[in-house]
Amino acid sequence: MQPTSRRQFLKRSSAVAAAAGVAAAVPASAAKALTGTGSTEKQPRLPDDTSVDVPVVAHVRDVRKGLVSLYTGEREITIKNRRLAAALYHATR
Amino acid sequence: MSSHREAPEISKDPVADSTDLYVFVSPDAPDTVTILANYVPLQGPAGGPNFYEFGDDVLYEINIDNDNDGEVDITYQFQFTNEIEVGGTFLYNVGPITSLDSSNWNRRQFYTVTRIDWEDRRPKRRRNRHRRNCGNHSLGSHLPSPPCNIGPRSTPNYETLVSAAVQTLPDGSRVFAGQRAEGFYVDLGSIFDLAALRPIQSAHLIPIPGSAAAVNATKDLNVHTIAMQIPKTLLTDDGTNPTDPKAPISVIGVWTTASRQRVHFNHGWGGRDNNPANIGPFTQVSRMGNPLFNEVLVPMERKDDWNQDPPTNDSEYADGVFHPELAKLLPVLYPGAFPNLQALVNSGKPRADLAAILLTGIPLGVVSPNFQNFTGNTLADLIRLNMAIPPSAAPNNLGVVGGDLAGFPNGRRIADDVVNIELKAIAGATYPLIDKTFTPDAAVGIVDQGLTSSATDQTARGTEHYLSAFPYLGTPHSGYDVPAA
Repeated sequence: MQPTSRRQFLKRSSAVAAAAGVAAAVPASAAKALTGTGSTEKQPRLPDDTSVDVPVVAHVRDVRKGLVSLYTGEREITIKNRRLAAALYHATR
Repeated sequence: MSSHREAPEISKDPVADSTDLYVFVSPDAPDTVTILANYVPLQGPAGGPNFYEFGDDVLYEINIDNDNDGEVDITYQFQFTNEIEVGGTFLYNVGPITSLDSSNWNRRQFYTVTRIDWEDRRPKRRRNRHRRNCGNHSLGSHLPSPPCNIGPRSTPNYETLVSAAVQTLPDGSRVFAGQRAEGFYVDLGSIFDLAALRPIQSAHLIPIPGSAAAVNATKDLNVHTIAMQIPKTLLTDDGTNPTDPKAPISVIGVWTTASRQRVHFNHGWGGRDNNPANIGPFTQVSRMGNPLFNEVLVPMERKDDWNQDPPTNDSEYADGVFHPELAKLLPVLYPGAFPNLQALVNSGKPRADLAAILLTGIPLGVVSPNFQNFTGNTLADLIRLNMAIPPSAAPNNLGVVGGDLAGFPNGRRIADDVVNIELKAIAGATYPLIDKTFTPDAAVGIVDQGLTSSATDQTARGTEHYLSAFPYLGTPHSGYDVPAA
């Protein structure tokens, strides 16, 4: 985990997406990019519990390596998912 | 200043700005150590209608190393919440606040105190970055902070509110969190005008004729203080009350931090609510150990990094201690006054005396056969306190430099003239501790910001409000009275 300030974090972000609460505002082309086509990966099940409506912020740390940090509550989870990183990147173009 | 607005980023975030840290054996309760951690600098007392408060989105921490490796062993955490009690009014209070549960008090602040004892199983080098606790003890919740000192109509009998806000915790410690009068004193206006000291300003490279009285720039300002008075037995590694000044276990190293969550999200117009969201783990944005460390010894472009680093990373900043910029400037700014310091600078010899004071502690026998506050060779900016040194009956505001082993840099008391001490040390006063052939320049004796009348003066100009008991820092200046007409 690299030490960083709140402002530096925002400044350095290559792409920052507030995933929860803004998904409905994603344009159709971006939505397509997010859902992807032709992937062999199993589509994740959408939760039906209304209690999941909490802020989640995704930070694409390195789009080429597929490194994405997810922030929710007081947690940070860093995942490696090149497809997701690419989808988030293209959603912001 | 000590650490007020000392770095570019934190200067824009006052509620998270660690400004001063005091650590001393309590003179009126010598089996305890008092730790005062100040934040929210330079408060003009007339701060209404939104008077000063701690950040409810900031994690405040007092960190303690008790096994001499520069790593944290004990953390006291403080988190604040705000509550609106009256509602429907723009006012902080709608009548006199005569008690902490007054129905006239609209915007109140409460806090939690948690002690964490860190485990030793993980490699210590990594603990500051990947800390895991082995004991997370809630010591208090919904503890009240007093209001700010507004004026005689709103906060009559202010100190009764403070007395009620001093809490005794289940482990026997005492705690207070709230506004106090600023205790740090400095002639800021002159010192940052090219390192001028008013009493000797005629000798400056850009002279101003005559000698002028020093001005305490913080004289009428307030600050927010987190104060703890902790039994020594809760601070030592083995739970004993330290009595042997030579024993390493008698020494603790203390530093404070403030942290914010990684992401701050403003919903903006049309958002789900008006409250910004703070998301993710807390990450350090401010740090405080020795006074003036980040302020004077770390170059501008590294100050923000320093605020985010643990003390164990301070080897990265050690060059500013071994070869301080101010030591190079003094002979230039006061021509002819510091020939010996100039020669020392030209020699390129590292200032091991300053490193001992600020980064490692002073080894046994260097200043006295029975004194040390050495914490090993790890370079870390900590306030180091040898708890076995009893409080001084006749304190000297120059601390160890003045022969008083109970003062800075063995801990730091509120009256210690840390600006003078560090100025004199950088000017060469302490170099003979490691090189007896060195003779400090005569000018070192007159390096004095001029806010104390003598080395035994315990009330520098503008600090007459100090108290003799916890929380020691004086009653905050009231908005009605300051600024005066």
